Amino acid sequence: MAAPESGDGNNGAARMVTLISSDNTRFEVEAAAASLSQTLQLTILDGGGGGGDGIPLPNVDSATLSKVLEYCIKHAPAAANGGAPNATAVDRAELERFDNEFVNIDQSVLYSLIMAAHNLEIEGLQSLVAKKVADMIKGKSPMEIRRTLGFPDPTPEEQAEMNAHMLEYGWAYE
Amino acid sequence: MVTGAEVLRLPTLVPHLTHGWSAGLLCAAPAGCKNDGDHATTADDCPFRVVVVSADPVTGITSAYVYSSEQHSWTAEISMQHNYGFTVPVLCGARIGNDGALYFFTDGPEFCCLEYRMMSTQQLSLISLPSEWESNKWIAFMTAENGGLGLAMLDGYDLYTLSRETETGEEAVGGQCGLSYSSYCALCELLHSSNESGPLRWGPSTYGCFRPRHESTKSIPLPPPRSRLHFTQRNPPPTSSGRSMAPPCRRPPEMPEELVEEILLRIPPIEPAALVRASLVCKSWGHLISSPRFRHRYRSFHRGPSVMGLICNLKDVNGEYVARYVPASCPSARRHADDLRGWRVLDARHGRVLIRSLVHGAYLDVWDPVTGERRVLTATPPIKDGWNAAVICAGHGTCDHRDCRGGPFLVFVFGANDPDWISLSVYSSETARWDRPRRVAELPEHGMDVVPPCLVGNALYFGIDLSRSILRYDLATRIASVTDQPPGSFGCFTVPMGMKDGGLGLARLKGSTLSLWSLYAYPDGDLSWVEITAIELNRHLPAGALPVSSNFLGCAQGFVVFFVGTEDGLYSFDLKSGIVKKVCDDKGILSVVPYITLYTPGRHFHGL
Repeated sequence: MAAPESGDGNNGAARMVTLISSDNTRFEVEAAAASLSQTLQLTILDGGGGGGDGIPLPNVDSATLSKVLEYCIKHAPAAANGGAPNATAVDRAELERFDNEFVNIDQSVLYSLIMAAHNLEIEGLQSLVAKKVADMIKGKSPMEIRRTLGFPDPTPEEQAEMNAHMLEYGWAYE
Repeated sequence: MVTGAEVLRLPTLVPHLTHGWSAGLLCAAPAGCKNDGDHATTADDCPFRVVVVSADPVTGITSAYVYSSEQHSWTAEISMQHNYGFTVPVLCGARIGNDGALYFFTDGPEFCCLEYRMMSTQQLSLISLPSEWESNKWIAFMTAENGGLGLAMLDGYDLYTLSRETETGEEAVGGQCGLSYSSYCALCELLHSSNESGPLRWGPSTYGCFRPRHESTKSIPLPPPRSRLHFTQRNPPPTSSGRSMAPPCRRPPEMPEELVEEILLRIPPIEPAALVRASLVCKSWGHLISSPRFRHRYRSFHRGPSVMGLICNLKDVNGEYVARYVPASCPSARRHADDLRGWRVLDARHGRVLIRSLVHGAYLDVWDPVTGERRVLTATPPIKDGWNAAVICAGHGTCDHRDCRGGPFLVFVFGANDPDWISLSVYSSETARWDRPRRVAELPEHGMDVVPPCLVGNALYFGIDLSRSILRYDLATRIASVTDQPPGSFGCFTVPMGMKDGGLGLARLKGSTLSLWSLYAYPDGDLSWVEITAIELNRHLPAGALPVSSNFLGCAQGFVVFFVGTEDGLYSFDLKSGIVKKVCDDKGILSVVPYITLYTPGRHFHGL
């Protein structure tokens, strides 16, 4: 089973929910972690995801979901405290270090990760990956950005327009 | 030259050049270079010449100084008298043909270039260029097919090349080829992929270079039929390598627009070029970025304008005055356009930078250091002496200054026009003229200080009388008044500045002590200065940087970030975080003006 280990750490009253990825892998996590997702939170509050049911996530594959849950598990305690006010400087520094390493991944994974964060409405994760993507594209030319994000090559008309604008905004390309 | 790393130091050129100058390098092999036309494999011992051209706009004399590698010395000066009063812009030299001629663009009233011919006349001459090309900025020298002078010009989507008809002895330039819209697309692809140097360059040089080949080698008389140019690529790039960044074949699902917006919002504002480039990625990104909604969100997200960079007034190693833009994003990656030689920055506000010429009289320009755009004031200020000036958006009072950087502006010049009085004259970019000077205040003993002024609310503040007082000018009532600076300020460097509460503040540098003051208004109307804090800069700066220069100080973001000069270059000091950072290595800085704005491609960006 691909359930993250840390999900098993707390044997107390922590409620567990099961999430099912698009390729039918089951992930068992604490409800508190899954509730970082606004979408899942509603289902969980309604009592869904417990027992053998599981919540199907047809838009998220298992590789992406495990990454998403890694983030949620790490951030769940801070989120439960209402975020920053109770967090110590050490905790915040630790989360920052985790975030920096977390997004240090292949760009195709980043792409599915941001899509998943968007679909599941996990604001912190979406914002973290968006910042990473913004940093990746800021030094690139329009053509390189297209290729980075997997856009199809431009049509000749689009290319001509891009070129004309590049000449007009020559200062942005020096 | 390519293989070795040997540096040959040329003897110092006497006299010292004080005006605009330019230089070029020529191969001086007796019968041209045998290797090939490009001198690409020139041997290390091949003799060469360096030609330095300088024009004095006052006397109208243009001089050339030639260095010969065989004699390892500069030859006597070659002079030419002309009536144009032009200067020679830097870095416009081009080497043409095997008979060794160099050409320099000039900025005289007529569109012409300066020719220095090494082999035959060794004289300077002026050559008229086709005047219909004058206004075009994408123009470059090239070597024509016949080895003579050629020009390349880009007009919209058309590339034109012209060669000079030397046989007929006429000054006209003939032989023209056009490049059509569709070939241009292919051309740009090629420009992106090739790193090879060809004989023709154009536009921002980082685009790359290419080599044009005419369909027919015979010269075409004017007016010419437009013929296609062929472009051959020297080293065709592997077709697939550029695509390796693309994700696997399965197309990922398209990113929803709100997600794209979240990404673009996070592009740092201190890298305005990144947002411009992103706006060209595709139509929808272009529309998104130029939409008022996005621009509004971008501003709120980044909490308004930020310090985009600094403009330093400095004296470089040659003793030349330079106004240098140091972008905050990447201080070391300086562009050619970031240096204005012979200019001084007086003030910066609302995305506009006011600069004055130090070479050609008191000309003023308004400069956008991000885009390099310059707007010229049509006349010098009608104030004779000792003046200082401020630039503001013409709509101040009603404009929110969110997107007005390219809009109309006002320039306020205060100075001593007649004895005992400070006079004011205002220039409006809309009427393109100065109004008649008007006396506004008594002239203090030491006149106006040349310190960047500040705008607080609806009033402009200028330091006067060697920091003894401050001149306040109310833009609404048009009344000026004078207030004392804090006691002990006389002779120190002080900068007036707006406080967060909307009041007036002042930063003072006395020795290495930075003190901050706030002007407190008592209920009965009395004003007095209250010292907020005093900081011993020596304790905060690295030991190797000391001593601090007490001649200037820059401050930004309501007394939070300060810029101080040291032996070791320019340092920024963030009062809030205590972070001290080296901004640049430049020595000889005379003053700094922070450039604070927020750039979003919008009003002047039409979208795709």
